[in-house]
Amino acid sequence: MKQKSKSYYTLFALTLFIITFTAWALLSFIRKERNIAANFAESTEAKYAAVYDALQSATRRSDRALIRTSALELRLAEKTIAVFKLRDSALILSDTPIIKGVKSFEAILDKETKNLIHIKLSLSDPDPGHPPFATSFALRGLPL
Amino acid sequence: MIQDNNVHIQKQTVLALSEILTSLVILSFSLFPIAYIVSVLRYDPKSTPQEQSAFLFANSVFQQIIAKRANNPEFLPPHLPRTPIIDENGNPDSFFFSFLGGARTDENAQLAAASKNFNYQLTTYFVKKNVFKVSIELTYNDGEKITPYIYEKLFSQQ
Repeated sequence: MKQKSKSYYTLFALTLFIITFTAWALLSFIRKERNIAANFAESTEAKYAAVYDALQSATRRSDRALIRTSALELRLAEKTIAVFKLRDSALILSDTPIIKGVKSFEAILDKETKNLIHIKLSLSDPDPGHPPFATSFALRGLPL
Repeated sequence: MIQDNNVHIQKQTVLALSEILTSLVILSFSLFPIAYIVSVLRYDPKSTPQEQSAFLFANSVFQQIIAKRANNPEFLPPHLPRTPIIDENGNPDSFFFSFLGGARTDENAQLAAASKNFNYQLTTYFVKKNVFKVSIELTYNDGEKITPYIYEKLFSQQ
């Protein structure tokens, strides 16, 4: 009887271990997702991906762009839907930093098409081998 | 009587051991999906700077096509043979570098340096009526091997 209760204790301990392990795995996953969402990403690759996603999402919904020094305002039917600006070495989108450690952010409206924005961004401390982020996004004016 | 007791204790021990072994088998099976989840979570594919650059270049070309077609629905992207992004004399390809906005700053020079070993080729073909596909092949030559990066996008003909 005593032996049997001992094995139950073992089973209980093992179950507890599994639960703790699963909880740890889930928590680390959530924390990772949150970190990505808050964009406290460390690598240049992750930073570029965060900027790319934010710009793609915003430009798809916009039909007009206002470009100021180190700031890009995207609009849909005269309503501002996104503002990207450089403040204290961080690229800010709607008061939330997308990425930190930014040296420069440049937006240029294409002279020919008028609905294409050329984006260039360079980081203060990029991983070795990475050129500045440079690509273009077309304004499409899709509804919200 | 004592012998009976010993046999009984031995049986109990064997039973307890078999229970522990059974629980270990169950545990090892239950750990497999957890280990799988952890391995999936830890999977962090690192793309090279060249791959990232190729992706951004290709996106830039596709977005230019989208922008031009918004202004002129009849616009079709050109068919371009394999061309170096930066030619032998160090001059950037005008089609490719139009997204830089013309101004040549230090950062543009950095970008030009990073694009030095890239070639690009643009192909446009109709998949079916009213649908065409644009394929851009970027090849990176690091002196030892040539790595191709191919990106394709479907466009509808209005």
